[in-house]
Amino acid sequence: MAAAAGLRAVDSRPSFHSYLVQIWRRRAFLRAFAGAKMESENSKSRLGQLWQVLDPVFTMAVYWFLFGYLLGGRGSVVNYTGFLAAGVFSFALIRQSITAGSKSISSNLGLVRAIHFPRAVLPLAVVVKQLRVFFISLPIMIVILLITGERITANWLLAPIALVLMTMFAIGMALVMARIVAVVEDVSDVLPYILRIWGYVSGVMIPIADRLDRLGLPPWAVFIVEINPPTVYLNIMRDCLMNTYDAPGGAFNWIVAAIWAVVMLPLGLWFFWRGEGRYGRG
Amino acid sequence: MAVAESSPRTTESGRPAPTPADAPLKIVVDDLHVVYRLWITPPSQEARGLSRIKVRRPIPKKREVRAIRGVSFVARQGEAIGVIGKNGAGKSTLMRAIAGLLPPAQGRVYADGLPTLLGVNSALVKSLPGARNIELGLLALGLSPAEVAEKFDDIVEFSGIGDAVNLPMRSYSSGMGARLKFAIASSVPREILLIDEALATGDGEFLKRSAERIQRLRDEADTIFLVSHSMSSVKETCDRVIWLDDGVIIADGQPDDIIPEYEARFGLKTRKSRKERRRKRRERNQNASSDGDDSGDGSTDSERSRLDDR
Repeated sequence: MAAAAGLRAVDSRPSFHSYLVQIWRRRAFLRAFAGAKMESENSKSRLGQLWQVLDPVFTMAVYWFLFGYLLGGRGSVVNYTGFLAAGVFSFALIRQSITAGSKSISSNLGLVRAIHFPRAVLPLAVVVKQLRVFFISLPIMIVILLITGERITANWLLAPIALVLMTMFAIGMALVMARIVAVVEDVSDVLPYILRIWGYVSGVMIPIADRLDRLGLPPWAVFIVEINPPTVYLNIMRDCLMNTYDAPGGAFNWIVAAIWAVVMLPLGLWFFWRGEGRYGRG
Repeated sequence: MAVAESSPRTTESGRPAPTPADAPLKIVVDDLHVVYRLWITPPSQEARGLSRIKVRRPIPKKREVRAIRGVSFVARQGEAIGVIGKNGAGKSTLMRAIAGLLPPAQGRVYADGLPTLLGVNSALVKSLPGARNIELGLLALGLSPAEVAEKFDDIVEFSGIGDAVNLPMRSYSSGMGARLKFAIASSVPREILLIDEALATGDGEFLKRSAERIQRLRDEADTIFLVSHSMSSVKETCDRVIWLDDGVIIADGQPDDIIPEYEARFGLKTRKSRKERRRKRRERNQNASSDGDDSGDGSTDSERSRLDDR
């Protein structure tokens, strides 16, 4: 009867293509939402947004003390402080995008249950917000790199490309995790630990390649570590920004980084779109 | 999304005319079930105060609350349907499900166009100022930034919150928040409109303004649903009433048939004192007779809605 009268189910999913068009049409909402989230954090505490910017700085300090000073994990790295800066600041973007993205549906249920809009806007807006935080903290990273003896070279011109690839991957991950957490909320409690371990094995604070040989891993395990997305993104970032350090793998990293970006972004959008119409269930 | 041909609504002063049975379908609700899933820790026996910590905690159990249990009906173009029932009867859940904002566990809701929910209970972003909420709400509804700028002043003025628009919404009183949210949601005309207890909020002056706006929205919309505890506003606005109780439809039909029955069930047979009953009747008479006098209108209305709750 309903179909005969030309009615559509209210929770029906639009086609993937028209979903993407809908997201594009809400880009003003996306921008405003990202800005609003930054604002709301500013009003929470005295230093507000500054804490987000300072987060990688403090993380760096902890890692420097732990791995650089106490454990002597700097390995073959000449400029360990610069190595940490490039790694920690870049990984912070991935980590915070995934963490905040995963909660983007569950922490905005009020909005989801009040107004119709393509839900993918929420995880996307969260990544946009994290990107803005990254840009605010960027000068700190550059200053640390320059103080510790790096020079600005032509390679720096490649850094924006590395950042784009990394962001594409982060968006894809944020979308995937947003849907998973919207269904199984408990996952968001485990996520910080998973991300921390992921950071450890991705060579954020130690040159992971140096360790691999010593651990005597089988070749397939070494391969997994080498194509692990954060590893390749940190490698290409360091290659761009540091002239005292050559990441193992060279051009191979760029190919893998591009593949991850090109795969994860559409995959995340598709995976999130598959759940459209089911978000907001309590 | 097909734009429905708008038929001129015959709203003479007072009660709207009944809708012809062959009017085009706007909404079909087919055996709708909505289930809330919760994780609940069962209360451990005889554990009070500090001892509660020592007693081994039971593991949270999955509990399903069946808010809507098999609701089916059809709404046609031009209908204004009042949804009544006790608190917790599933009225708001039904509205959210019809709007497609709460996915059903079973069954389906079909609509011609996307129904818009005018909920006053749905908060936007509490940590942000009212001004930001206006902007976000309108953009999320699909307006362009230019349209937002155009409507902004109207919304602030309509909501009557004044300078508080620059304060975070968490600092608002519930009435202010409700007014602002209603002002945002009602600023965009829609084909199918779901109005959730909008009339029960705000002070007398705002009530009058919002009643006017609902009337206007009703004239612009093709089909509206009105959830309310205020029988007078249901009678004024609706030509059909659906009575929900415990997630199922008890009655569906003409307001004149159903409202007296509803009031007989929940208005008179309860343990309410005779005095309260008499006051309610007096207020209703007063309300019906005096149209121009709106001072104290608000308190009357909300009073009645509270009385009807029981």
